[in-house]
Amino acid sequence: MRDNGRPVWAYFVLCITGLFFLAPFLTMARFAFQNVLVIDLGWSNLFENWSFDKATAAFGATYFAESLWYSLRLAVFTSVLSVAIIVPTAVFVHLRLKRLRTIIEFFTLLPYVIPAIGLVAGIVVLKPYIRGFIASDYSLVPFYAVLSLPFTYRALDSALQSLPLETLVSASRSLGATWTQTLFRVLLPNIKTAVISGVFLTIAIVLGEYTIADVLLKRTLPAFMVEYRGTDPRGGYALAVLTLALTTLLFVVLGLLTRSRHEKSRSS
Amino acid sequence: MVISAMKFENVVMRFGDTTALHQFNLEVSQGELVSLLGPSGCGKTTALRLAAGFITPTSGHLSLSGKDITVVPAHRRNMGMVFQSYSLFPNLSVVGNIEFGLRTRKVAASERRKISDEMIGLVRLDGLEDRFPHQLSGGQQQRVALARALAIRPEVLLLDEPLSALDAKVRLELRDQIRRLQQSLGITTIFVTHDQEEALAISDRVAVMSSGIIEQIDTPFQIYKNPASENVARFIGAIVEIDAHVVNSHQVAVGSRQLSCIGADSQVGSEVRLMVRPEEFILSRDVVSDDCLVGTVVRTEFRGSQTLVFLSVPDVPNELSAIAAPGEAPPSVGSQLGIRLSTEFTRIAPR
Repeated sequence: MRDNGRPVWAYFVLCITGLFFLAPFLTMARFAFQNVLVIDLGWSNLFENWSFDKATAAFGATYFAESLWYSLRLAVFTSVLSVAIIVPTAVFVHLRLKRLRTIIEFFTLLPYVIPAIGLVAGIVVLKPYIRGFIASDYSLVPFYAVLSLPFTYRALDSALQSLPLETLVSASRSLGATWTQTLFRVLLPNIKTAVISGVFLTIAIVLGEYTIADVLLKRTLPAFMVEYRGTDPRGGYALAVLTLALTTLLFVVLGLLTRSRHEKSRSS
Repeated sequence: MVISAMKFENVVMRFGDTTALHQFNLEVSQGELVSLLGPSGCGKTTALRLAAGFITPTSGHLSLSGKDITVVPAHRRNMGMVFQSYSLFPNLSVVGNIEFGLRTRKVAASERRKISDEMIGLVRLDGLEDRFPHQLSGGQQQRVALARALAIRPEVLLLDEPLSALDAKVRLELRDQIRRLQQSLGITTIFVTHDQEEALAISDRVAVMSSGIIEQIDTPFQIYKNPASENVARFIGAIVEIDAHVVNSHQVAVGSRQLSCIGADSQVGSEVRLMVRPEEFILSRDVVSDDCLVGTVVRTEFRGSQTLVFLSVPDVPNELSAIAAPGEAPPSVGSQLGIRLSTEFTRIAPR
């Protein structure tokens, strides 16, 4: 059975997946924003006593604004660092080291395989030698760049895979462009969407990472949320729900951005 | 002395253990179109990439109008290049693509516009200026690529199998268009192809390559009529190989039959191989004379201007292809025909 070319089971899978993501989200939201005792929460009072008070209180808490601003700065620096490192690397690998692609891909997967706590253990070993670095506000940036590696690299890898890279570079060079001009005028515009999605994923990681920040004693937004949850559990969850919503919004925007680009180029 | 526009001198190109070009020598005169023709892996694309500056030779020299360019990087060579396919920048429109090389040269906007308008006229893409590559057909894309390469007024135009991804009709049209433009602009051109018909049709000279060397370089006519080696003969045009024994100065024996063949005189008594083009066979209904081969028609191919006849001949392992007498109906399958050699036939190789 097909409807509009899409089989019905596809909608079924979509619904199940949606439920899987929405149910915990809704539960958290009820806990955070409904002034009802947890023990009384049920279907009957689904629409009762919703209030934004806990979130407002959390916004006003000491260190909230500071940690939010800190996390945002980290997000910007991490994005810049990972794009600056990964774009040229991925281009180079695709142009000159095609045989090493599998190995590089494996390395970029390591942050997936090795848990953050492993990375932190490594830092502890090095601590005596890099005290100044660890004390700095931005010591988290390189760690977050490593954590974002699997996502950023993968996004770029598939974008570059779909381009006739060698021919485009040759064409650009034969038309008088230097390597830098080729990178900025030919390659980047054609992998823009992948770069943007890499950046969004990086932001999502920075706004969600807790382990490393905690070990390095940095009060990032996630660290603040955990801390705040100790004094006010519902306020902590309110912040968590809002962060989640923000990240989701980010990806919806990303989706629209990539789609409108496609449609624009198709219809014009 | 005429200075050749583009010159390869003893160029050797090695990639690890494999040698792509051995002592490659080629001179292309100003305004000339030279084709590099050969099967894949013969080194023709390597030669073109060397000319473009994408790679530097292991040894040897390249020069452009008398100036050594062996180590000049690609972006300073002023060569226009057209690739097989998918070379247009997907993020730029037709005009954006054509103006790309002018932008890197910092040509003023008004001048850029003037040149791109002129190029669009040249390759007849009027009305498609603002389209993006994915909105163009394969033929249109290659015309944009050609316009883009010509816009920078290159000293040499390098064409890397620009027609091979197109369908037959478009390929013919674009082929003619390239040749007309090349001649009217008088631009020195190196054209890489594996399609011998293409090479013969549009080149001033054809260089037939195999395993990293030029086997023969000459005009299309000479390449076809007087191939320098068996390799060239086999690669260019259709050819039938017949093993024979030279009986006397004007006759060879093929199995039990005798065949008149002038030009066999110098090799009396020896074993030879006749390499015959289809049009060098003369077919007739006369099968009784003892100075001809007798073949049985296996099938015929009517091609409008001529009819190809395929015959099986005793003692000749391969099917033999010949052209039926013009103006006559094709011979029927199974009929017997006498096969003689035209007096122009001279391609006899020792074996």
